[in-house]
Order: sequence, then structure tokens, then C-alpha cells
Amino acid sequence: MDERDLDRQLVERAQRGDKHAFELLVSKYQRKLARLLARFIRDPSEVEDVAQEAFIKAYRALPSFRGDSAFYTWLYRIGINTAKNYLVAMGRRAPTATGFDSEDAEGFEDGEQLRDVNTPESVLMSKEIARTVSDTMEQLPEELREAITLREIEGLSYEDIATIMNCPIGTVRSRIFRAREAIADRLRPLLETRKDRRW
Amino acid sequence: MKEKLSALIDGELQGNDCQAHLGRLRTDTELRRAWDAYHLIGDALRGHVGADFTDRVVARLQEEPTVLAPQRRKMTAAKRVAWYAMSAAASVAAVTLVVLTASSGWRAEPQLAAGPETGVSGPVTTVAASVSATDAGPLLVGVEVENYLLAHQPYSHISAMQGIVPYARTVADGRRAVRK
Amino acid sequence: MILPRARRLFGPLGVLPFLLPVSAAIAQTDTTALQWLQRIYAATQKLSYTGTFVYQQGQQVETSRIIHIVEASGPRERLETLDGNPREIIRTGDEVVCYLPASTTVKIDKQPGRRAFPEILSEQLKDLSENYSIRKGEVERVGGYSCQVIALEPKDRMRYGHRLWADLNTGMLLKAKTFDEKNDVLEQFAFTQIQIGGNIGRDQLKSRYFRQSRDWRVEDSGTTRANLAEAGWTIRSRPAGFRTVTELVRTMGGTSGVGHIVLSDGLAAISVFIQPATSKQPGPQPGLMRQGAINVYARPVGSYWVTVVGEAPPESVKYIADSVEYRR
Repeated sequence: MDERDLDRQLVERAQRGDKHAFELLVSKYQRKLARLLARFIRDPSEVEDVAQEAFIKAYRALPSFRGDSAFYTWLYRIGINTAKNYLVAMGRRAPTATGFDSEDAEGFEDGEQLRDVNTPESVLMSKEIARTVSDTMEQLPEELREAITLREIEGLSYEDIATIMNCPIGTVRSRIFRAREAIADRLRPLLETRKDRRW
Repeated sequence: MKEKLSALIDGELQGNDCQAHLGRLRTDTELRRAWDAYHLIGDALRGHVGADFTDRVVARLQEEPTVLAPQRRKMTAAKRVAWYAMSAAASVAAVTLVVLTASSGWRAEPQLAAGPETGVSGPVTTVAASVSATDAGPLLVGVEVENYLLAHQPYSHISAMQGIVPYARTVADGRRAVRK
Repeated sequence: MILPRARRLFGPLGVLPFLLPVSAAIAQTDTTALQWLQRIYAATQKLSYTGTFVYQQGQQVETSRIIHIVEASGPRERLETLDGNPREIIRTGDEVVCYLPASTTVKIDKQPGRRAFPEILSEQLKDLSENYSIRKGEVERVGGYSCQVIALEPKDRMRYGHRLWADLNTGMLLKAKTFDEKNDVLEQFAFTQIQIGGNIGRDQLKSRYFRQSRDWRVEDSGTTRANLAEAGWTIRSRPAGFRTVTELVRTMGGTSGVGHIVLSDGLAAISVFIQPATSKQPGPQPGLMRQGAINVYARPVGSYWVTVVGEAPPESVKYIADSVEYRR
């Protein structure tokens, strides 16, 4: 199944009462959503509050999600609305950013270093994570680095990557996995210092 | 397991595996951690760094009344066509099984004697003239032998001259030893 | 063979002076024949071609199609079998990918130490003329092309004889036969149709199984160079002319850390595989096995299995296997 189907599968499970499925979606989209909201809300800790609120609203609104659009697009709109309402409630005006009501969530500009969305307590942690990821990437064998870059940054399919790297599709799958594992291995000690999830 | 999760996340896992995997994510802690880590890595590569507040959302979710609103799955026309095409392909594949042709395969030779006069002459003509697999000597065909051949071929200068022609020499894969 | 007849014609003193160089050369290596070999090697590195060939060994006959394109980055090839068991091999530089649809497996192998054309020349051609009598034969037609026949006669029983047919125009090898000491054909291959040069689309190099193989099992040999002598492995003695070409370590059939030594006399290659014997991988069948021009001999050495594979007579293969030693 492709990525869009995967999200839809998770949503459908959540709609049938499986909260864990929704948690997987939260884990997946939390940073992306926070980054979006940071365009309109200056204070990083407020961004986090609003993002959490948006997720809860999305959960409550699940019955009305019919799968006509991608899950993130739907989440994006809920996020925007939540941010709007928050600013109004705080007596602030929403900035007249052009992308405010944009339908095209996918067209969001990545790669710009916007202001830090971290809460003060974990600012060090995030920087450490970012640096660990970047250091490990540099040390990866070239074919692993290339594969994961083409996937995560260029967003290419395995098939396209295999064509570019002139290798079997199965090799692409293996290389991306090995790159992820190599980085995850280095991150493990960092991540374990955070408190464990409550299940 | 985790390699399949990696493919699933990229939307590149085919078939029935997906459902099973999503199910496993609920209970398998290691898989769940991998899900979190892989998404974190992807975000980090794209410059999305941020606090992980999933657990805070989870805490609030615990207090939320569980949503129960299963949607009726609409089978769109496009999906229906795709489904038919897939089942048609599957039945065609089942019918066209590759029938492996019998081949002379490998022969075990009796232990090689010391002198050249007793050595090669007999077996050579036997092999060259052999017609059927029921000829003298047990047949030995193994995947291991094929592995050796595949590893050996590129270094032969005969291969170098012929391009990669001698890969033709490799014994057909998957055929197991027939020992008498 | 021309040799016995020539002797009868010219006699021991070579009769006609201006023919003397020719008759003297008959018993040794013909330098123009050597040049032909250079041409043949060069052709595989410089020419792009596409064609169909038949490979025969014993009663087994297999037809395959090959596309070979030389690019700035080096040669790239795709070979696929047209009958019998489906199999496709794609080579880019020193990496080979083998698609095996019957077992839904993709095997990947790196081949460090596989020499490109210019390097073969200096060392190996000298070896060749020490171990083989190399002569030019007649001109014969193969698949519509006029070809020069080159004969390589072994100087001892430790190697096989060969006969090569090379296109007069391009030097491209179009047909070849391998003979045993009784002059029986062990194996042969011949192009039935070939296009040399011209326009060959790069898209023809793409695997037919590219999409299908996405979920196949991938076996990567993880081959790297190694120093097996340092690890204690030596080949105490070897048949004349067989030198070590490269030493590698690879994964094979699920077992990692398999040593691989490649020996060559300039034409024939012999591989020595050394792998630890484990309960899961008990090792190959001991003793001698053969198919056509290839002989395989396996024997245990301590807690290891030594398997020797080569396109050389059983005596050679066994001789080398028996010479493998492990010294701590």
C-alpha cells in the first residue's frame, strides 16, 4: 500500500476504536504540524500547546473524515483553524501570511530554518538529535546515504531511486533500512533518556 | 521485521503484509520504537526538529471518549478494476509454471587415481556422450555448486573474452541434489 | 590440428629458407597470433554489441541474448537466457546483479580484481605463451562474419586447449571451443546473430524483472579484498603458470567469511574457496564433480572446507586442492 493508503488504514483503525493507531499518526506528524503552526505562533511552548490541541480536535472529528483528502491535508486545516481560534482568544491578530488558508499542504516549503519550535527544556535535546543525525549521515557508506536522501529529502519512490542508483529495487529497500538503523542506533541512548510512553 | 516496517513507512510494502504489520505495531514495543525513530530521522533530515510531545497527546487521549465511527468503505470504480486485474494476473501466473528441462547436471566421479592413464579418459567420454540423466553415476546438482560457479566466472579470462557468456554455465538455480 | 601435417611437409631442416621463420614459429608462439589475442581482449572493452548466442556443453544447449554497451564509465551488459531456466545477469563495472525468477532471488556480487583490458596484456600474455602454443589458423565464416581462427594448445596436461574465432574486422570473439586432451569438445559457444557497434539503446540494459523483483530476496555477497596468506592459508604448490590474481572474502550461500583465491595461467582461471564447516552448512560434496569444462574438487582441511573450481582438467583442480594448507 502506498503512503496515503497507510495513513488511511491508520485512520480507519482509529475510527473503529483503536487509539494506538491514532498515536502512530501523532508520532508521525507532530513535528511537521508544529513547524507549520510556528509560522503563526511565535512562542515555542505555545506552538506545542496548540499542536496538541489540534491533534485532540482531530481525534474528536474523526467520524467526519471520509478519506476524500489525504489525512495530513485534513489535519493541516484543523491545525490552521485551531491556531486561528487560539490567536483570536489571545486577542492577537493572525498574520496575513499568504499560506494561511492554503489548500496545498504539500506545497509547504521545507528546508528553511524557521525559529526554534522547542520548549526551553528540550532545546538541547533537539539540537543533540539533529547533530547526531547529521554526523551519522556523514559517516554512512555513500550508497546508504544516497538512498535515504533520495527517499526522505527528494521524496522519490523506491523504483525511481533504483533507476537513479542503477540497482535492484530490493537493494534500495535494504539500503534505506540500513541507513535508518544506523542512525537509530546512535539515537537510541538519547531517546532512552526521555520518559517512556504510557501505553 | 523492521526492514518491512521501513518499507511500509515509505508506502512500498506490497500485499497482505501491511495489515499484519499494523497489527504488530500495537503490541511490539521494538517495532513501535522503530516507527517513532524512523519518522524522527526523516523529519530531522528535512529540518523538522522539535520536541516529541506524543506522550502528552497520548495522556490526553486516554481521557477522551473512544471514537467509534467505522466508515463504510466505498469501492470506487478504479479500485474495482485494479482488484480484478490483480486476481487475473495471479491466476495466469499460477498456470504458467516454469517446467524445468531435464539436463545432464553434475556427475560425481570415482576418486581420481594417481596416474593420468587411469584418470580422465573414461569419464570424459561418458560426460560428453551422455544422453540421459539415468546414465552412469549419481547426479549431483546443488545450489552450493552454483554459488561457487557464480563467484568464479568473472575471473576467467575466457569469460573476459566472451563477455559474460560463461554465466551460461551456471547450473539452473533451485534444483536440489538427486542422490542415488 | 595443423602441427603434425606441417612437420611432414617441411621436414626437420625447414627446406626453403624464406619459409624457415614460419616453420620455426609453428612449434612456438606466433607473435601475430598473440596480437590477435590482444585484439580480442580489446574488443570486449571497446565495442558495443548486441546479439544472440548459443552455449553448448555436453547435451545441454542454451540460447541467450546479450547487450553490451561501452560507456565513458565503463562497460555495461545485460544477458538473459531465452530458453530453459530464466536467468538474467546485469553487469555494471565490477558489480554484477543476477535475477533468478524461479527462486525470486536477486544475487549481487562485486568483483574486485577483475582486470580491465590494458592490465591483462603485460603479465598475462607473457604467461599465456609460456603455457600454450598460440597459432593462427584458417579464416572461417561465423554467422555471416569472416573470422580468424586462433588455436591455443596446452603445453601440459594441466590445462585445456582452446580454439577462438575472431571477427577479422573488429576482433570481436564470435565463437570459441574448449577441448580436452583427446580433442573432444567440452564446451562451445557461438553467436548466431550479432550487431557490432551501431545504435544500441541504453534502455535495453534495464532488467526485465526490475519491477517484479521489488520484494524478492536480495543476497549480497559483500565481497571485499582480503589477505588470506596473512590469515594462514597458503597454496603450497601449483601447476606451472598458475599465479594468484586476487584474494577475496565473501558471503556465499548464507555463510559469511568465505575466502576466495583466484589463480590464472593467463587464460584459464581456477578459484579456491575456503569456508568454515558448520553444522548448518556442512559443505559441498567431497571429491570430484564435473560438468563440461568445469571441474570441482572439494576436501576438508581441519575444520574448513576447501573447494576448488576451474575450467581446467581434474588433475589440476585436485592438485591445487591438495596443496592448500593452513599454518597458524
